[in-house]
Amino acid sequence: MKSDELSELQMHLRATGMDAIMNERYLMRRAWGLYYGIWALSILLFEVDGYGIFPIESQLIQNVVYVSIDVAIIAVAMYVTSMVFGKAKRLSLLRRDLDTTKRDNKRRRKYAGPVVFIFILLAALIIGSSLLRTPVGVTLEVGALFAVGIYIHFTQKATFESIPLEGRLAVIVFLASDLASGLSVVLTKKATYFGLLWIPTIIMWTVASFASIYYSVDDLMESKNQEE
Amino acid sequence: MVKEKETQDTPYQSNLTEVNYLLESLGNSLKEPVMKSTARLTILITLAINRRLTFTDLQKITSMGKGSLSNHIEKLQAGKLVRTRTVLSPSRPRMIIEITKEGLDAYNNYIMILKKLMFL
Repeated sequence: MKSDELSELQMHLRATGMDAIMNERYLMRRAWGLYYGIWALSILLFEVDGYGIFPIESQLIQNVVYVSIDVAIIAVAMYVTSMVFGKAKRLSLLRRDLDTTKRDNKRRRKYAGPVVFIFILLAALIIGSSLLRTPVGVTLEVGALFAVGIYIHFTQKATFESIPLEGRLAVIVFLASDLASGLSVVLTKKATYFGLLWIPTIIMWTVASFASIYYSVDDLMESKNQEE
Repeated sequence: MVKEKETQDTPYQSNLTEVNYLLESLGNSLKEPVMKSTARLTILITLAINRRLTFTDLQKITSMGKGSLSNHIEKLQAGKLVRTRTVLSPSRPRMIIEITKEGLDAYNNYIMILKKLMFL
């Protein structure tokens, strides 16, 4: 194969990959819409599920129902999360492979980072939740959730060349709820306002969910116009 | 003899040989030469990222007609790169297209070719 044929081949393969990435914005924005939506619902259910099962007299049944609901919520939310983050990861790997200026070999270590992150996060949340009324617990809980917010931001950055407005706002409101709820526990020594301060996040993420799904069609149109 | 062997195995030649091999393998899987393949390669890349998509979504993002997309999917299916299944939904049955292990291998070939080409 001659050198001009090789460069033609490289151009063809890169152009095809870039087109696929451009089209992906529509699908990814919609997937993020599902992510915001499922987590808005999950946070809401975490806040209200205690009230829903209050009339149950038996403490044992109450606990079983309470734990079952929380596990079910977490399972659905984690499934959607792994689906969205997995797509984002694969998309960012392709983007890096198409970038002719980068020649690193981080591809093989792609699972190590997220696995360690999730492990540390779960540990911090579990320990933090059981010690919520203590300064150590609050710090762990707030710190772990803050790390989640930052991780979401970087995953959005890996997904989109420019993060959509609803994505930026979703992360900002999430971080604000996290810090404010943590501060409220530290200052009042009670967890009374902890749940209330997450309501802005529920509202913002619900709005972000609808906005992502609604405006994703615009991204599709835009990518088609660019192709033409 | 040793000198001749050394000249045969320069990194350039070895990369070139590998690119040719990978190109042939990818072309065989796609059922068309890689240089002529845009639609099938785009479908393969899109499915490698998303793992599975509905026919409607794939049609939306590739802007292909139903017949043309079905034809490409049939060819990819013949190469065992994708599989299809129909699921029931409230409005109407939906066709889901999923990438297979062979499809992911073909996608990895595509990535390998890209990487090898950077060194040529």
